[in-house]
Amino acid sequence: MSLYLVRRLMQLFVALLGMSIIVFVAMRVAPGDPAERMVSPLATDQELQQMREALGLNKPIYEQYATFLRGVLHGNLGKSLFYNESVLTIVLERLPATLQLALISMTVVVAVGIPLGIYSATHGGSWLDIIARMMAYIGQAMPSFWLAIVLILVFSVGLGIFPTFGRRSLSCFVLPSISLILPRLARVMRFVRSAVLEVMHEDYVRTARAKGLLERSVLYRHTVRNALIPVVTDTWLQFAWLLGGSMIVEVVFAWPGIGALTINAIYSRDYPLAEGCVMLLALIFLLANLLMDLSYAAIDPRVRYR
Amino acid sequence: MKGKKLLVAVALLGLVVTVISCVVPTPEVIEKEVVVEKLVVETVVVEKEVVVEKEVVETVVVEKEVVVTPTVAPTPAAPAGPADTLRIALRETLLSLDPQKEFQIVSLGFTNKAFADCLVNYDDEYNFVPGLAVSWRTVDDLTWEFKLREGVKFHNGEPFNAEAVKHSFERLVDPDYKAGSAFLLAGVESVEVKDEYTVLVHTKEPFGALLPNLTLVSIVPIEASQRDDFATNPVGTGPFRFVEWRKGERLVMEANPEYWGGAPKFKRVIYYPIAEDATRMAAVRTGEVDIADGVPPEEIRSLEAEPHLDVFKTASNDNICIRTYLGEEAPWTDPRVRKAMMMAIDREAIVNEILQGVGAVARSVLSSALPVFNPNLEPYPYDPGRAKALLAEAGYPDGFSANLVVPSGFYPKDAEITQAIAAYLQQIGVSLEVRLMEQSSAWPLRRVPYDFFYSGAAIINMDGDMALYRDYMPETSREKYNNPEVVRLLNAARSSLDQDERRELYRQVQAVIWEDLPNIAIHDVGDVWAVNKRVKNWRPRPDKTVILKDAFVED
Repeated sequence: MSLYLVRRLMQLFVALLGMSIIVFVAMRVAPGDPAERMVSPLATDQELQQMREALGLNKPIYEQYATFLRGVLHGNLGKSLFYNESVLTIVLERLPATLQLALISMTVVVAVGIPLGIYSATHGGSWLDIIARMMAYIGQAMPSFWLAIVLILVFSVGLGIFPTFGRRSLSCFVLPSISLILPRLARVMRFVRSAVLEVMHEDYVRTARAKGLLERSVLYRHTVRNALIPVVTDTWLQFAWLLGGSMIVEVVFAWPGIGALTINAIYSRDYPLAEGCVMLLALIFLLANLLMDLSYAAIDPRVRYR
Repeated sequence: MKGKKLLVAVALLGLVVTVISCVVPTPEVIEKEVVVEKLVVETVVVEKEVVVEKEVVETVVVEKEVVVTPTVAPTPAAPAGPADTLRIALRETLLSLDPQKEFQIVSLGFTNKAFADCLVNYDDEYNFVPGLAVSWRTVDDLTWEFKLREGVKFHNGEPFNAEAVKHSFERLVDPDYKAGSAFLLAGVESVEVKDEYTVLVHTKEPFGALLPNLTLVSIVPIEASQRDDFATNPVGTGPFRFVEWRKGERLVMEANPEYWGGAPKFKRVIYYPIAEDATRMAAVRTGEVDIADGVPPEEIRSLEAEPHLDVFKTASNDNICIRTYLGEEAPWTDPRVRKAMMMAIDREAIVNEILQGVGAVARSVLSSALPVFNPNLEPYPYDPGRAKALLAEAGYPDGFSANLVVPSGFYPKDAEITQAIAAYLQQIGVSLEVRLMEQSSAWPLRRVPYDFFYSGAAIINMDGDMALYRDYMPETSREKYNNPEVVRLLNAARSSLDQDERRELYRQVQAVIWEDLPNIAIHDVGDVWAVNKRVKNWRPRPDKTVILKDAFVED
């Protein structure tokens, strides 16, 4: 197992390296550069060139990459061109907000979605099942941008219950969380329902029932545990995605998280900051992947890593 | 039965949706007829051959005014805000608090003016009034003398004096410092300290734009500005002191009780960046913020109907033109083609219908809010017939095709306006392909040959030099415009130290440019702000600055 871990971590490192090259090149190949944004709109071409030189943008691309790599090896991700502060500091400043939202949302999604999905599968045709399934279809179809704004219009402007924006109080967490929870809840519920339904008709379940086990025991020890693997995969990936920051929800609610930071960094071509953010996202995904694979070993006794 | 249950569930859903739509405020639209008296010149035949034109006042029902009343109480009574705190939400996100660094509007117009002061300020009529400098004079063509205000301290206790001014000027133009607004002092050769409260500014050539530019140059303290964290911990002489900045989340400032211009009447200001229009408007509706900028035109009516809000519209220093590239052989290098395009576009309809009356039809290549605006230019009418004739005269009876680059989202309603423009031009045979692009991809295209480019220019210092010099001088004009008369006038205006003379010269420049029409002027940009009625004594300004020191809050 530990050998497996070491191998995986090495692969992770290589993947990150490759990712850094792709991100680096992609940002510089895209039209527009930070110098354009930093000089006034009235700047002459000469002033623009001066700014480019000052920022080190006129050096050949491999030289810029070498500088970047050297910095990373020293634990320094560079300085944001616009904020003029260390990229690491800025990212770490904004990470907690996204983390809080991701944790809250995912906890609710799992705590509510899995039981609902199981109930839906075992009590097909009941009230709760029908309503839950309908909410699931709608929930998955709703674009998050639209949902966020509708929530604001109904609950903030219309009813005055929750604040419209920001992270200023506990009640500020509610609407952004709901925007993130609803589509995911729908998805997890449907996943669990179909997974459980599939497993429910397997032979070993019939055997367990025939053995005389309590229905609840049949359910949890045999059905659900086997059905969980695809659900776990999907849930981990959803969580990883949320950790990268839902850009839409963060922009609409003016939530000070990583998502909004990344998108603004890319728009303004703040190379170091954008690269730092995207690399962080890549790291999160790769780690999530690793943890996900490790969790299979915990759930499924047939899975063993060497 | 499953079917029955499904039916009931659907009905339940329908009920929920209905409830939601009742809760969300929808305005009721009432059409009211407004009778307007219109002057009509009637030709009346009096005797057999004598035809007399008689002016008759004809009463004509011209417009239907749409009055909007909300059907539901729009928002539950907005909670009174904290007694001595002003909360403001702006569209732009702050990048730096350093009063000298940024060229963003939110910095130049808001935070710079809160934390720091300039030597010279503008009053409401755009005359120069003392700031940190109490008086000034020109010693000779190349030298200006400024007498500084005594007894002023920076927030950290450092004294304000001539040394600080010298340091501030030098810091701004230092290439290592990479300030976007360095060009403001490009005409300055050196700064000399004559005595503790007197500064001599030496310019390379006679520089008439010095005073307007100085209204944007913040004075910073020597020691504090050299610290690494100055951009996150600003110090100045301004009416507000820095308290806390959480990037992208909020900026907190408190009143400076020792401010030389009189302490602000409220204790704190909190600025929230809210980029999303819908959210920002919702925040001002619920009373979570007191002031919000960038009201979308379609929300104006419903915001005006809110009992606790005022909606302020102001002309601004921004003016949108379609820039035409004149550096290569093309149909539009012929001025008749450009004039034809101008007359083919119904700019009145654009301003009234798409912008809902916010802003105005452009009557020059700069905004009518600028003091140097020339009001006597003959407007180009909307006349597609004449446009088509002019186009044919220029040799393009069947029109031509071209493309228009638009930096998406930068200017109000750009997508709708450029679509409308393309439709208007299609009527005279000009096929315009509108290319809406992400901003960072669009801006670089202005520095290489293009066909047409949709852009404006917010003239922050309200001065003619900033408005006209770079765009219309052949060496710096992106459009490659070259008119010797304009060159002569612009240089004369730049080197004249008499502000009245400069204004007159800039008016002449506009007259020449209006005849050549290198840029097809579309509309002046208007700014719309939503303000809670508890905020007193504050109005938005055409120069886009947000000056809060004289405002106060009263519940």
